[in-house]
Amino acid sequence: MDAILQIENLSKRFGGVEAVKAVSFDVPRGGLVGLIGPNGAGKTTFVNLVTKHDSPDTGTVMLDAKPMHNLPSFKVARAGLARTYQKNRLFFEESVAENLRTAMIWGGAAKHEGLRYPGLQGREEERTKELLDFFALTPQRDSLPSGLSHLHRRRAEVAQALALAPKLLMLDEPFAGFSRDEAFDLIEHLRACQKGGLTMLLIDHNMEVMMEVCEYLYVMHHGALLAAGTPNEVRANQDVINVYLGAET
Amino acid sequence: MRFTLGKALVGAALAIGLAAGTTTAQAEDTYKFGGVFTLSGPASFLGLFEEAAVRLAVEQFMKGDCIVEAIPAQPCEGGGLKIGDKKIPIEWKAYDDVSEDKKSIDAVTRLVEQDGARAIWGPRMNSALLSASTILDPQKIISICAICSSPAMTVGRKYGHDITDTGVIEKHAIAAFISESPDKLKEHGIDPKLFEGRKKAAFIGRNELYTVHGSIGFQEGIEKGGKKYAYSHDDAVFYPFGTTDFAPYVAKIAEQKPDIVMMDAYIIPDMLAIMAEMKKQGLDFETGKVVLLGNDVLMLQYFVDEAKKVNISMSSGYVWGWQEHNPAQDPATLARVEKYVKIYNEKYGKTEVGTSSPFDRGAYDAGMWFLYGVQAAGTITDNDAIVKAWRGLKINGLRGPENGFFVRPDNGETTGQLFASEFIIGVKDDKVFYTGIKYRDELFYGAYVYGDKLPK
Amino acid sequence: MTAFVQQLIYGTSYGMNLAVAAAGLALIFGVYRVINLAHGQLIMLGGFATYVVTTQIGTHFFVGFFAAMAVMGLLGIALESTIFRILQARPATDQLLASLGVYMILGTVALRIWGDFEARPVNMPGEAWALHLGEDIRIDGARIVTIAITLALFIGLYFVVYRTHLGRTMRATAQGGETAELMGIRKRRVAALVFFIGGALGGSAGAMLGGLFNVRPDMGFQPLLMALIIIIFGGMGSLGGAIIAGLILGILYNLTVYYVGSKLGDLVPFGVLLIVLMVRPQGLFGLPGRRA
Repeated sequence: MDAILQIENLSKRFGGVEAVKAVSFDVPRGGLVGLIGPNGAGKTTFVNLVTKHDSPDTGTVMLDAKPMHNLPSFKVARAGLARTYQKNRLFFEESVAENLRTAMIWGGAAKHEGLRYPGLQGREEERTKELLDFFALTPQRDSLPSGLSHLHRRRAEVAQALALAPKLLMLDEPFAGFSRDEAFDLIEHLRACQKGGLTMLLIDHNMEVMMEVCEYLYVMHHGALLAAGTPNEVRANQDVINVYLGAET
Repeated sequence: MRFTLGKALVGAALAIGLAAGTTTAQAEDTYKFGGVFTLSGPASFLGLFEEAAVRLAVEQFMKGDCIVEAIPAQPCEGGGLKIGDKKIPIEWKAYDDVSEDKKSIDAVTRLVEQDGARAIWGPRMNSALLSASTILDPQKIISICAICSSPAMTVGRKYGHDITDTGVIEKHAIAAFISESPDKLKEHGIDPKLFEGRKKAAFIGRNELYTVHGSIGFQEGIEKGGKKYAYSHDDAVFYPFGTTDFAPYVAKIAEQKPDIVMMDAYIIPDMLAIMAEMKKQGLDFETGKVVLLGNDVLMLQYFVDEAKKVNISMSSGYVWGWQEHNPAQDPATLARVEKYVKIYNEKYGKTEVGTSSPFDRGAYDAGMWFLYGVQAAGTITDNDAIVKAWRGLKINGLRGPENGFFVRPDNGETTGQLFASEFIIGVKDDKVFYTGIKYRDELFYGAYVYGDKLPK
Repeated sequence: MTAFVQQLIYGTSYGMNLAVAAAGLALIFGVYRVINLAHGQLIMLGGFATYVVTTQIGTHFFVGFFAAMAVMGLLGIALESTIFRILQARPATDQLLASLGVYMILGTVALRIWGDFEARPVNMPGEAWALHLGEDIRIDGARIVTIAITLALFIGLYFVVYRTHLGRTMRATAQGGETAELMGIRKRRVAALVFFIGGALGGSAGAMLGGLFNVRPDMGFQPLLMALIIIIFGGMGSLGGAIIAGLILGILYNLTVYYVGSKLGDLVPFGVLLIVLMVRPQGLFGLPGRRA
């Protein structure tokens, strides 16, 4: 397997709580991989460690065989590792188009490495236009984030992350607050990006949707990796069943 | 419980008694006094020299090397104050108020209650001064200031002493000058037409009690001089602390179309900025469009030199002011000043205090005069006797011969106000000069000078 | 009417000066969320830098002017990389107090070096001439020059902040440091840049104040006080707001002094502050609910 992201033995402790316990896994290049787990499983902390918004106590993170764990977060972003947040983090005083443009200033590490998803070609203006068209946000290009619907805002966030021209995109709870139709609308867009060579790691607790979308799943529980496998394998895993039955009553 | 409380009370009473006993015992063998000055921060230039001069006076009294003399003569033999046949050492203690009222009052309290000071120098700021007087006066602590220039030092105060002029008195002097007849001007070599046709006077100063008093004194002085000029205290223009752009303030004076402008400021950068703006706005004292009047800081040679650096000439014959000392002194005074300046500059010239100016000389006079007064009283504890004895002395000081206290014309009582002379000064060829015109007797009148209460 | 126009002119020049002083403070607050009280002394030191270079060394005003901007910009970076960086995780009040400490230290140092007795002129172009409009209205050359410099500074600042990648980077950092890092923005470098521009603006304000009214150790206090009020009035961190608010305050100040009473000028800024806090706490151009 050609792994674009290799995580080895990642741990983080907050006071007495071991939020992430020796997690190791790989994400294959061009894959659409999921990380699931009930609320409080340590998923977001894990993402923060990978993007260096938090420093891991131990462990290594390699992107394309280059170490990320010893870089500051802005360098991780420049190296091609983008993410979205659970909560909206768009620049609130900038229009949608400006939000995309801002991401293009320092991003773009992956632009020339054979990727073909929207927003990679041409100059700033052309890239912006292509991303807005792709996410059907052209009518909203001059709107402030506060004037957008929930759906449009989420699209704009993903578009902004793509404007960085990443090799790998981590989406933290991308379907939160979405109807099934809306979720699948976003998934269609993500799949199109995957065809263009983008690797994605989806992080969500919604098992149903994740099972349908992801090719491969990792399951986290109490900070540790509980299970891994194809959706079918995970669905059959007794530990996973116990955790989710315990969590979703 | 009650027992404990009782015991505590007894203990406290004993402690207080002991402390009081100690103070009295000490008071008998050392004379203690002290002061509150601004010794650091932006206004330290108003405090360092005064403290330095009084400290020097104490040291010289202890050494027996007094430069100035009391009238009637008092001994200065060294070893301390000569009271009876004993020599009582003098202890001087100074605190820094950093220009803050609260620190001033704290220091005054500490001096009186902990340090056992029997006389207090300062505080300089009017607001603090007024608060301090409510602490000091009831305890009969003598209060002295040599740079306060405020009626609040003496008016209505039995133990207050102002060893300089006041903002009111000095404005009476300059008002008297501009009210002089052409003949008198001519007699002193001044252009008799200097004030001809001039009718309107204006006033600008920083917004503080000193200048408010100054404006009132200016109005009083003009009235006393025969109302040759239209001026009302209500027309005075006051700018706030920290002003950088003086344009609107000068415009407000210009609006009054004055022939004479009294600038009651003593902060050099303020003065230069106002003068530059006056020239720009047509209030030109270089051409005689207006006559510019100023105070003893304006009439420092140093200031004239500084003004020249910023292309302001004060030599047009239209800039006048006063000094509280005569720059062309009698030989005896000059000899004293020379001796003093040498000692002072050797001691302080290279420190942050700086070299001697007329201001520290006044403070030194005050310090010496006061110590002679204590000695003359023959007691170091009875402040009523000390005040009486001190006010009965005159001094041949650095500011001139026979300086004394002002005697009220209404009841014949000697006040704590220096009976100060003001010497009218002009500038010629970039040098300050004494015109020969001086005022004293004509300056001392009105409630601000010898009333019982400060007018509101 | 003439007097009114004259006061408008004075007020405009004063207000523009205040706006430059406030713009530096607003920029730093906008991006860094800290009120840098030391800014007042950067203004003062900018004046002294101009004095040293222009008057003492004897160069053209603009040599001193740009030297003041550069030196105060570097001092801004020095402050950022020391106290503000050390205290960045501490509450805003700690940073505020630390900057007050710096204000006092710099003030004392300046007083020790230069004292308050001397005339310190800075020769500015246009000082000797004035423009006359009609009979009585006069615009001093030096004021025209300061207004021109101020406009140039604001146009430059607008261009940098709104028309360059650097500006977009600064604005992004202002709106969310963490998101900015996510976009590959190096926050520390932006902070240094912002403190440089802020310090340079302070330095330029000092240079112009020095040119108009001589240089003095306490010249930073009033501009700082007014700048604080201006950035609240204009909307914390809003550059456009700072400029408009500076102008309004400068003009209102002069008109009040002239028409209402010389002692009342000082009440204007505080009156404005009070009204703003009651009627529109977010300021002229602040967004409601914006974190500040």
